[in-house]
Amino acid sequence: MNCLEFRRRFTIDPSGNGPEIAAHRQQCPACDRFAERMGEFEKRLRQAMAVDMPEGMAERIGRRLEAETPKLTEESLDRHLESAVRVDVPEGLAGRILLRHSFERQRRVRRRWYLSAALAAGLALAVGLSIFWPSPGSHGGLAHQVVAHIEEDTQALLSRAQVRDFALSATLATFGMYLEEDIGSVTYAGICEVGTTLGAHLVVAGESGPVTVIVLPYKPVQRARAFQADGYTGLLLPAHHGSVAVVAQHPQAVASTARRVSEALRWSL
Amino acid sequence: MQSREVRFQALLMSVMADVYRYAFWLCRDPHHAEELVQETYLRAWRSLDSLKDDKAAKTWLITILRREHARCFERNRPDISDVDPEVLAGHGGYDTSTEAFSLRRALAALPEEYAEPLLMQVIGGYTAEEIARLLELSPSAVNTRLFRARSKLREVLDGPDRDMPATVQADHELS
Repeated sequence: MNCLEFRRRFTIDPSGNGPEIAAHRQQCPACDRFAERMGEFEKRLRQAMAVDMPEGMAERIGRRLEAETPKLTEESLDRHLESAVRVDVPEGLAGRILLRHSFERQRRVRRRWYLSAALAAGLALAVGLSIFWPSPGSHGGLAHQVVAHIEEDTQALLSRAQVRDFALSATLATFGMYLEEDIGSVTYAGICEVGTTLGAHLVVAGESGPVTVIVLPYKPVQRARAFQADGYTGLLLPAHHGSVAVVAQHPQAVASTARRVSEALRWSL
Repeated sequence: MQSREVRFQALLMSVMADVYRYAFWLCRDPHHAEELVQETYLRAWRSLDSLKDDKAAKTWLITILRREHARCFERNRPDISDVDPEVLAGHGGYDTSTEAFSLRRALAALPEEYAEPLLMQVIGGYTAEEIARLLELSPSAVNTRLFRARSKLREVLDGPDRDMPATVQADHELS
């Protein structure tokens, strides 16, 4: 290979290599320097081409893809829930959760166990955290949005009449959810908008006052967090592909309602 | 066995930045580029089963994107003279040096016949033979375009190419 051919080939493809190219570089210091300059130019070219993606584009694409997906399969649900259980679970917690479930029941409703375990693990973490670190944390924005929504929608907390089962089911079914067990007396059920995301807004009559449960199926949180804001105590828990916020003025009411919701809430798949 | 969602995430979502870059430089408009990428990913999702070789995921996406670009924007391609270099600069979080700015402006002004083979090679990772097949050109024509594209861009940074003897440049002018 002569110098002309070397430089022509290197300009066409600076990443190209091969025995002939390597041999010529070793023999010819001028072409070796040329190759180094081309390498530097190529680096600058790649940097110049490296425009950033518009903010939020990946999420917008994700939402469009989600709308395209008719249903999750059982297999993908298992995968999702299995990974949810594995993430951020302290050592020994899985064993403690297992004690709460008979083995027979697990075999019978395997999917359901994963869901409950994922929520319960999140709940245990959040309750634990709340002792030491009762702050909005990384999902503070969402926590504040939830509290702001509760304060805006005063009618929900004032309602005292028990919501009929049909109305409650219809609200949850809007997002493909249902309750497998009783979560207590529900005094409000409606579709709401928290920030820019839709959710199911429930109010459960607790022993020490109303407890708000907002399920946000399209707003995932990475991990369970406890928060306190504007006189409210709350938990944000990962659930399915979204999250559940349980908020009340009394911390104990939050924990007990969150536990009941975590046991009862299901997604129809 | 991997689910469809996992496969899609692993193979395709991870290369979205490169796919967007390709789209951006192809249509030179950030809004059209995003639309193109969105359509590309939707089509990829619908036809994921036709991706046989996982290693070819990025090139497969870019092939879909090029087809989509031809379908949607061929009749309404933005005029290069309309491209605002400030818009281009504003869309890079990257290198803000004067040199990078000049290079991006030169890239934006590069005729598409030269720019596209370069994008396919640098961002898409295609070989010259693959580029030739996709653009329906001979391999030597692709080499000529790659040579000219790099030579033009190098001139922006270094002035006329002193590294390349005039005979080689003339060869490529004639190819």
